[in-house]
Amino acid sequence: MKHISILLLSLIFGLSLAQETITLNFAARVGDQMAACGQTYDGLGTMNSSVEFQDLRFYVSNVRLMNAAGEEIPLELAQDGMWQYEDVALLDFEDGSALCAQSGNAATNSVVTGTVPAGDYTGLVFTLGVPFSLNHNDVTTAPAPLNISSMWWSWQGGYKHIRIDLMSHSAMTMDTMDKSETSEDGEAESSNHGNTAMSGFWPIHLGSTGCASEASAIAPTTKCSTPNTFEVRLDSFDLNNDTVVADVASLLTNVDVSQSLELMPPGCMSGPQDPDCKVLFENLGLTAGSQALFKVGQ
Amino acid sequence: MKHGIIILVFASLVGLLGASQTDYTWHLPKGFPMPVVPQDNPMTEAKVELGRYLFYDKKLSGNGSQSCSSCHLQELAFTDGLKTPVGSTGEVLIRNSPSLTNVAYNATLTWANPVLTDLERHILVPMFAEFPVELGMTSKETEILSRFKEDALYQELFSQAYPAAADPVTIQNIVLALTSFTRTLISGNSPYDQFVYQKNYDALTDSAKRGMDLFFSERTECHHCHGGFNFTHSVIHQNNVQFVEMSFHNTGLYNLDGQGSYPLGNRGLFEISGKDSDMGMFRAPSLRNVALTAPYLHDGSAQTLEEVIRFYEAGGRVITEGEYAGDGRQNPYKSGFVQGISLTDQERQDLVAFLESLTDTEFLTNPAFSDPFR
Repeated sequence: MKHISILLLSLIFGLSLAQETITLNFAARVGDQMAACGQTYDGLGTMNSSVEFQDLRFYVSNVRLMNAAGEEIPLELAQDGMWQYEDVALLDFEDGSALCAQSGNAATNSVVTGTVPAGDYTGLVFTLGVPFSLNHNDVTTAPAPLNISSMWWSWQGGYKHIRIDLMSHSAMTMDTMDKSETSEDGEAESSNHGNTAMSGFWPIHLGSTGCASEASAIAPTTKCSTPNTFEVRLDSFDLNNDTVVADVASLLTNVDVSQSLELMPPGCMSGPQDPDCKVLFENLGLTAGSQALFKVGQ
Repeated sequence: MKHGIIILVFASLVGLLGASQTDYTWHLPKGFPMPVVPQDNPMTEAKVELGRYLFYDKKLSGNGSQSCSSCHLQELAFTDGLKTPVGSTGEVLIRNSPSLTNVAYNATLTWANPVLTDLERHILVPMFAEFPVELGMTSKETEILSRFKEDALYQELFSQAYPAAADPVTIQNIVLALTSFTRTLISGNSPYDQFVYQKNYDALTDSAKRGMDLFFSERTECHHCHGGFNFTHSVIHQNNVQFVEMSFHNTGLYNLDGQGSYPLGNRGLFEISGKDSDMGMFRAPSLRNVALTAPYLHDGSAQTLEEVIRFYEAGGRVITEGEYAGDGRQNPYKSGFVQGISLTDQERQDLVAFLESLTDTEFLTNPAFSDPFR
């Protein structure tokens, strides 16, 4: 009995010595500005749109640290009952204020925490999105952070790996002078006014498509043809000083967020044929090239 | 020693009951999460039973003419079939009687109030509201309480529900019992539930199945506000307390002045917050049993499900004449998800068939929810 206790103690002690706790910092930015609800960001996309956030959240999974030998060591995520479950974490940069009240809530999160064997780590790799094994659960009974209905489509479609909802105004239609000038000619003005406000809604919902099942309310049993998750590889990442930056300005490079080419759905809801998704998918490295959303920052 | 253990076990059982004060067993439908119940009002069978009697008893209104059930009829999924209800003193209310289906899961109560999150506080509105009067209990409290104190049936029900209280017939205890009963009004055995949760794939017609796929599609966007097990994103339960969503939206029903205004007195969250951007924001209601809850919308201004679907097809409502004339489609505060959709007649029928598949006939006839005086 005594021997077992000593053995257990030394095991626990030994393990705790060999493990280290890691906190990875994430940030959402628009160029060099912090991205937040209730602020307007100018000059985005092909039409130099002015944009306000209405939502700003994404899931990451399968987080690994790279050592000097190039090995990828899994980060065991802390099971905190809130932001992290199994190997999935939610990064949440909307605080439910201003336009973000539409789908958001007050809680925010900008870190991923976990443990790895102690060592020298020089790089970071993770998957953007929820893995298939957890993606098609029932949002109602799933544990946090997979319990948010606004981050979920249906059993068939699974979760929104990324939800970035934008309200944009092209430079021209934002002009308040323009509005007051035309306000004299009654009907035409009110119709312009409304169209301007409405055409500006530009949500980005990245989720898996081609998930075959009998109906939208039935989870697929075989993997989706287009998972729309992708690997983010930051070869040189200093755990103590660096931050994983999601740069929405880079994501919107060459994207026209002033209008939806296809009216329904507005913005890009991951439809494989949706013209509004085309450039966006390229910028995420899903259809060509490599992803431009995430980079190393300070 | 043996006796000692038995006594110990017995004592700890009594202790447990005393501490949690709940003996209520939830009979939740498959797939449903556990509701959140306030710690100071634990569910008990006796409180639920008392609450059921009170819910159906006209003694609860100031002038004895109405009960909760006057505007919340079980056979209509606890709505009243009226555009807007009439209170106990004859005043016409301004908003449609909301269904009490699954009200235990509502993140907020009433049509548009982000801070009214507890049934215990909400229920004071129908009880004591003066503008307009609903049950009309204000300043009639003593008289109303004495009606129950003098009734042998209620003496028994109250003492069962509150065995430790010397004088259990109080307004507070009425509130706790009524909310306990309304929390039990859970509906989750519709053909949709049989299909999704009970895996009975014959439960839905082909038309309803097509309608379901449309409902959950990015083409119609219905599910963006009416998603999840309760067909609204405005839900709270024990599995989502970390991330409670509220879900208020302007759907483009009105645009009185071209600036987005809704009719006076019915301007949604704006009336609470005073913020322009809250104009016309109303809670997305659950769609469960929706086939029975006509007329629709916060002011009962749509008669049929087809009319509601057609209004979403148009991307808002155009009112061409009268005091509410205006092009709701151009409302600047309208939700971005209401952009207009083009549906075929068949698709519209399919959507209606799907919404009809949310009708739970067991809920509408469950004796546990019915009038005990009948």
